[in-house]
Amino acid sequence: MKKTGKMIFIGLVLAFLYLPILVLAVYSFTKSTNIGAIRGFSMHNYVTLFSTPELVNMITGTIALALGASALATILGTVGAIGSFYSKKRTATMLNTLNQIPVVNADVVTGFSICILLVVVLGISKDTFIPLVAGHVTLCAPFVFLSVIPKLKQMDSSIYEAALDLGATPFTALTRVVIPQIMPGIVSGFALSVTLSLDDYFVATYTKPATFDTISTYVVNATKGAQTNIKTALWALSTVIFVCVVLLVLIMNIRSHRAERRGS
Amino acid sequence: MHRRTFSRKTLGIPYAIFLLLFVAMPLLVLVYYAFTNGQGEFTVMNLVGFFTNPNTLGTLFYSFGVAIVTTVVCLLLAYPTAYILAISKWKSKTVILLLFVMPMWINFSLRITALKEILTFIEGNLAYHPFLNTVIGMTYDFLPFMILPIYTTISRLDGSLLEAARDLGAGEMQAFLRVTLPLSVPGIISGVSMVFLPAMTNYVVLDMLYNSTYIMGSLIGSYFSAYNWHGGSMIALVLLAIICLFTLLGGGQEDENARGGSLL
Amino acid sequence: MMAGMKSGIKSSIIFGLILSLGLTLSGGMQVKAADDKKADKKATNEKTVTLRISNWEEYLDEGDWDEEDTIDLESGDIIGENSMVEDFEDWYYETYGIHVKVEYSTYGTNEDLYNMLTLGDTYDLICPSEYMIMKLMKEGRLEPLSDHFFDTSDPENYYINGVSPYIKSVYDNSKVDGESWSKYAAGYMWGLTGIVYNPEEVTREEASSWKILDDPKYKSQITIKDNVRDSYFAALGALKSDLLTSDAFKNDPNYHDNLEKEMNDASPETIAEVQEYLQDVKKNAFSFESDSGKADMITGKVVANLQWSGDGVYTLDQADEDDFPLEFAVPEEATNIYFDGWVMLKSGVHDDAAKQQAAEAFINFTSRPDNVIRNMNYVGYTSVIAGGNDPRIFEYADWCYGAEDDETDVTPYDLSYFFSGEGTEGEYVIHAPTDQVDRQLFAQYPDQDAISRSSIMLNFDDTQNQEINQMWISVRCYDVRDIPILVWGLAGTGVLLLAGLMIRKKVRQRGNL
Repeated sequence: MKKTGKMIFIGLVLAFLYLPILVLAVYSFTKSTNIGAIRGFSMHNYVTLFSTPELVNMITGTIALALGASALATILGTVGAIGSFYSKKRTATMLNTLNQIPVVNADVVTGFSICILLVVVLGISKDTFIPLVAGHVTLCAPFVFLSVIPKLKQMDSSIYEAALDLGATPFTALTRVVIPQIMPGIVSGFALSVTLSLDDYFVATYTKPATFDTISTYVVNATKGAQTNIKTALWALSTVIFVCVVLLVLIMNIRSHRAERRGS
Repeated sequence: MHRRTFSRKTLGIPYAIFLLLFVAMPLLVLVYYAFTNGQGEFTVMNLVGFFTNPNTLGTLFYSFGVAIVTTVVCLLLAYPTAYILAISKWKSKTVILLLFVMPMWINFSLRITALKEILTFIEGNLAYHPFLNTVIGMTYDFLPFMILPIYTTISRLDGSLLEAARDLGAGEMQAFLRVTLPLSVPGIISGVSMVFLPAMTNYVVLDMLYNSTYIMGSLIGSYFSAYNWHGGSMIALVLLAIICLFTLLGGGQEDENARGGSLL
Repeated sequence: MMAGMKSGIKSSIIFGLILSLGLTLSGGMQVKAADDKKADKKATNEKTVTLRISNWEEYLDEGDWDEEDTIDLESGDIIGENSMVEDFEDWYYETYGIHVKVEYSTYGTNEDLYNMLTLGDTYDLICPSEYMIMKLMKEGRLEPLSDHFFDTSDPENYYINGVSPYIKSVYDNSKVDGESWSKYAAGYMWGLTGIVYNPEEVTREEASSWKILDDPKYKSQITIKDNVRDSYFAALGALKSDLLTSDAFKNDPNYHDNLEKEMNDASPETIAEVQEYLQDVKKNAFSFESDSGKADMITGKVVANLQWSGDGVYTLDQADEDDFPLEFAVPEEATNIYFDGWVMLKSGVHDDAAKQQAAEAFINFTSRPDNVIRNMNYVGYTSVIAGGNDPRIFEYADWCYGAEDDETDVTPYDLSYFFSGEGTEGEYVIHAPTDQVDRQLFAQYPDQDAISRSSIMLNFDDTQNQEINQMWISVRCYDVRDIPILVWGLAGTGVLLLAGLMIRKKVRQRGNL
């Protein structure tokens, strides 16, 4: 009985999270332009989605930006975390404090101030994508840093010493011993970076080139507009992303199950 | 040779440069604008203006209102969810957890679009309940960010503590109140910081749900777009200061593992 | 430990894979782009001119029309297959043998555009409204149009050969610091601001006054514009309603100058009054919008919205498809007449003759009568082009709004002021179904009466701009004095509770010590 209560609660929260997405998914296969009466099955939203170059460019651009910026952020953040972990306390405190600023700062402020510095003060053109990438790396790297630090603290430092004693150079010891131990932190930092970059609207809106759109900036502009075919094509987009995420999760899950079985 | 040229400390340098360039410098630019007027002269009028203008104060209050209510609602939904999941022995626990994480990977603007359609269908006219809709939207957007850290913290709790409490005659309720709840505070703080700050500034949610009142994010953005960079920078700085104050009050209790390590 | 190492290595492999995938993906994209460029170069062996254009959202034909949307004029069919931009690129190569690549982007308000310029975006050709054109002229940021652009003997100069005499006189006679607009700007679209309304809910009389905006009868059912100038104008109209509609004011010989002065009044007292009024409007309105009002009107979420006439036409057209007749009214007090025009930015085209030529060619291409008709049909706005010797634009207006032969309730509607200029009444008359006089035809080509009570928005000086911007922010903010006592009480209790908890904790810690 009690378990049923718990399951109902979990179910309700899940329903809150998924109902809108699922309802849109259903409607994305219809001719309806509003939630309400269903006007008949149609794939036209998906055709629009994949045949409008504007939409396709925006999707691939967003993904490329997320992966690229996250890769950069992961490298910077990880290296920075290792460096800070082994630095003197004062340096480490300074790095930690600076690192905290983009985390607590409003994204709109991060985006604007980077835009002012790079574009207005230093005169770098937005078309070079440098401000955009720099903005996203600034947004993500601190989170990588934050997810690597605890792993460094939990690490068994004696192995590193042992490696040195056995004749490894510090560099090999670092790549062969330290990095593998903190790998879970790095991977989750990377994943978090991708999430943040994909979700970002505020930094992109101040730093992106005028002719480039991320999913967020595009959707926000499109919902202001009156073009219903674009609006409903975005329903299809949200459905496609949803399905991709589900597939990704399924694959990860199956793999971890297999690994578990092999392990036992 | 290697031992001398390569030191782990030097790894901190690139990240330090990066932070100086993209975090410290933009912040300095903000400080410059905040304390100057249109003629480039030093002034504290922007600061005085912030605390004497009923509109900035009202906006601050309104944002606090939105953020506090959102955070409380998120907490009320997230804590039981995370708790039930963490202590349950359900087989498909990880899958359910992933279900709660997945929405994070779907772009927020798309999810809010979906929510808007549903809310429009239910309420008819979104303009009748702007505050309520905003809270629903924010909760919908940020709930996963609250569930994860709390789940991580609770699932790491030492089970023997609970057992000890029971052995000492504590009922389930008492054990929860005296042991689990206090020990999960770091996770709660992590979650609150992931929800409270964005809820004060993510104005896209309000825009998309037809709430035409400004919150801090939109206020800053509107100063920037009204070419009043000086006033906008000052508001941004004051907001940052307020947030830092809160972080200090939260006092390092945050669960480091819960934030970064939360995704995988 | 070993297991830990193993899983670590494994995840590092996965990580590497993701990374390399990302890199190859982005690398691949770059290679592809480079290939495209190479192919282009081979074909012509010439430099491609890149033209950066920024225009209003939904303001240019994007092509891809359905067969049934064909405009079957007697002089031939017109249909938008490709986007206007693509067609321009092809046409430019065919006509001048030069490849041009248009980088096209859009903005939502004049203020956004100006902001984008300030924050580092560079464009060659933009399409702001008159007051922004005046601001940019004053700041010396515009490049004058070339003499060749005004050469009527070149048949490819569609703009100068086709522009409406009415519009031409406006552009020639409006001046900033002694220079007329036409030196820098070529018109694109024009129109009036008014109210689109649902005649089943709102009477035409109510919709003919700006006072409808804060009418509590329509609480949460009206949208207004999310930009300071349009809202300011509407608020002035409502506040000065009595004055503006009085006979003494209307019959004054200097009516038009007085009207322009009143509607551009930015004295501190007026700004304060407007702020108060707009705060009421905000509580009464459904939303502040820049584009979504059209959809909200069509779906019936709102019953009236402050609208530009061109978007009005679009809204009415869309609603007609659902058999949901809407109407358009121009308030009695005054209306804003706006002129969106093409201007070239110095920062983009300066010293680059090839770019300038392409930019001017783009203006001419969009002024070619068939393209004018495509754009008007697609976006709903009214082009400044009357067609000159080409009768197709009038033919199109007649095709849209002229009555069928068997229609009985027909009203003549004189468009001569636009097509052939002042003093030519009766030359261009459409015999339209009578209801069109309140609907699309009226929104597309407003009658002389509506135009006579129109005023343009002037460019404010910096202080005034700052003041109305601040006013606009204040309107949107939550006033601290509006907080209910209950909320103060709750907040106070909350703070006290928190403080109490913290003190208790501190005391306990001391006690433990």
